[in-house]
Amino acid sequence: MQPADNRMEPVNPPQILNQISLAIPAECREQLIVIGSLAVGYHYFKNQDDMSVRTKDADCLLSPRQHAVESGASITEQLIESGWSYNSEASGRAPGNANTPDDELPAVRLWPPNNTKWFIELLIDPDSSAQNAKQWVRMNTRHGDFGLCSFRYLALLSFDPAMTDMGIRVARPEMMALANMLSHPRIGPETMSDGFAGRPEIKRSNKDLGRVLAIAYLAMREEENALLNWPGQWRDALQIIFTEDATALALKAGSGIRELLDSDDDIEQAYFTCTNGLLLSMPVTLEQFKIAGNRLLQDAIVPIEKNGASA
Amino acid sequence: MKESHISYDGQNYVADFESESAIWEWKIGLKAMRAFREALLLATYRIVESKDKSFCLVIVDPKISTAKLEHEMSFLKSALRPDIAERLELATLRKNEFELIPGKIPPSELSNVKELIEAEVRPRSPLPRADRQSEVMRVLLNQWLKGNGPMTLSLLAEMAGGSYRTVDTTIKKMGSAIKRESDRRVSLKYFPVGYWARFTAISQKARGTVYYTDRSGQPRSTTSLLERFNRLELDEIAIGGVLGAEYHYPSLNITSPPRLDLCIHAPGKYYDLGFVGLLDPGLERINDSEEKVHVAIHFLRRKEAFFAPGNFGAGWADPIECLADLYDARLDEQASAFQAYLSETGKQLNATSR
Repeated sequence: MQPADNRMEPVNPPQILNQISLAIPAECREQLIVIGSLAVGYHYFKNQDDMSVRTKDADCLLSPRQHAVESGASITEQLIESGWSYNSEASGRAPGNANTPDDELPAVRLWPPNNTKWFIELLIDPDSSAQNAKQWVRMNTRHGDFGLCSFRYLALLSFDPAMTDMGIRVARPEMMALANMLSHPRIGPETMSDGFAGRPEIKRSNKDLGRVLAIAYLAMREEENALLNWPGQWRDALQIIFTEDATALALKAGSGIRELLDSDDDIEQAYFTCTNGLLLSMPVTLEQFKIAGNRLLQDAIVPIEKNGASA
Repeated sequence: MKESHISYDGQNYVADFESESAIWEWKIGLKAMRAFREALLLATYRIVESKDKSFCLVIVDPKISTAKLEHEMSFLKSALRPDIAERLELATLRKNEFELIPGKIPPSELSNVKELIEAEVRPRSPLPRADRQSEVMRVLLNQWLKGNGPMTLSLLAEMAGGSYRTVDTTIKKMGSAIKRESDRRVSLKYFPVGYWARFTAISQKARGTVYYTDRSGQPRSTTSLLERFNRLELDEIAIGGVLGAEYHYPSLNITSPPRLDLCIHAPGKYYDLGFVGLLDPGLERINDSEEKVHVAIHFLRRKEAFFAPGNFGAGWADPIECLADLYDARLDEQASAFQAYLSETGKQLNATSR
């Protein structure tokens, strides 16, 4: 089966999580944490059948790291052997072998049987809180060698993830927000290689920081004062994961969001990605989107900047 | 926003702000190089005292060029011990944009400082002309509701912040509701229903009321706004409206307050409404009274506020302001009941106090 092109289709998060959970080996479920828009969608729309998000990838983090490669291999083998497909053309390269350098190994991207809407992608917990650069970890399977990608702030996504009744876990929305904020202290020039929802030249920072605003919007939709709890939760996670760097990270957490809110072009791009992604099912205006950002600044970012990582 | 307390030379020094990496002090509208040199010298004292932190001096909208400031700074640094010099930082901010940025300070700290400075230099809005006649009437009503008995016209003028002539005109207009003593002191005989009705018709103008509505699509509840207001610790603003009325009249028949009414004691001519953005960035000031109001702000221009102590801000607005707020919010049924209660309370208090 050929994978879909890069257009994203509306999907229902609980349905996809259920499909993933049933497809992977039962003993690996607890080591799989769904991250990204599906995790956010599951968290906020799990009881609403009519709510969907638009995405093409189900990003899944393997955690803890010491069991990740083994679990990742079991998951990959079982999925491929039950009809999930790897597409070398869409993924840009074929599975590697012993001679393939680690950083040239392809990521695990598998499409479910008879489905071109979305694929699962596996990532791995970072090596340590000090890991700065993106790393690839070799994973040997019966179907070739693959790479599991990790980067520093993924560690936040495995902080106290929520267990689903399907046995797999989902990252906490506020931790995904913090990871995205720390990953983009500035609006960088890098653009999405395939564009976004048919629009070229979307900056990656705008997509990722826009998601932070979308999460804030959804959190307030659920509980009006939800963002007031975030600084405390962020502090706990930063202190436990990054210890000595916690205060420095807390102080710089909001700089990218500020830059986003100060730029009409960037906030418009961020808004576009969200209304064609996480906020697909709800009518949010650009003004409302910006207000969500300013509320986030006021309720969560300013307090954590003010107090650093100290309680 | 005075946060840091450091003592040096036996004096208490309070920095404008203290962040993770630096102690901050800002000078606004600096005109003379001499004043800049003095600020630099004091900064060096504080660096010695602080031991490890940098000291960042922010010069806001100076009349001196940034190049001259930098030159003076580098000249001073050349005369300082290296461990002191390297912790002395200079920033300049013009029209709320950093022109000179200190090298070692993280951008997030700069943004934070910029916001604090902006709040300090933000121009205050002029208030509309005070309606002194209604202030006189409201002072009389408050005195009557406390059973305080008659008062001289000069005391009434002082409390209302108006002239003797304004007081005289007002009590003439209030006609038979006014009781005059033989020594010319005055008080109310009863709740002046007619005069009050005329006041409620113009109360928005008389009290300089401004309205805010929600533009977020996710309006915050009055309870949430109240909690946020409380955290601001503003000591010249009291709670009015339904919440205030419930404080004065617990039997008020209403399930939840439809909006937050705030009563600002502003005897001066200006007031900074910047705090509204801190209540909620989703609030926008509106002129259209048909729009849903989420926050209403009323100004009390007289000298005496008559606020009752409470757990929020400056406490509770007086019952007369709360009553006016209910009429303003078109809660006529609740307002009528509250007015009847106040009328009866005043009547009983003044009957027993004589």
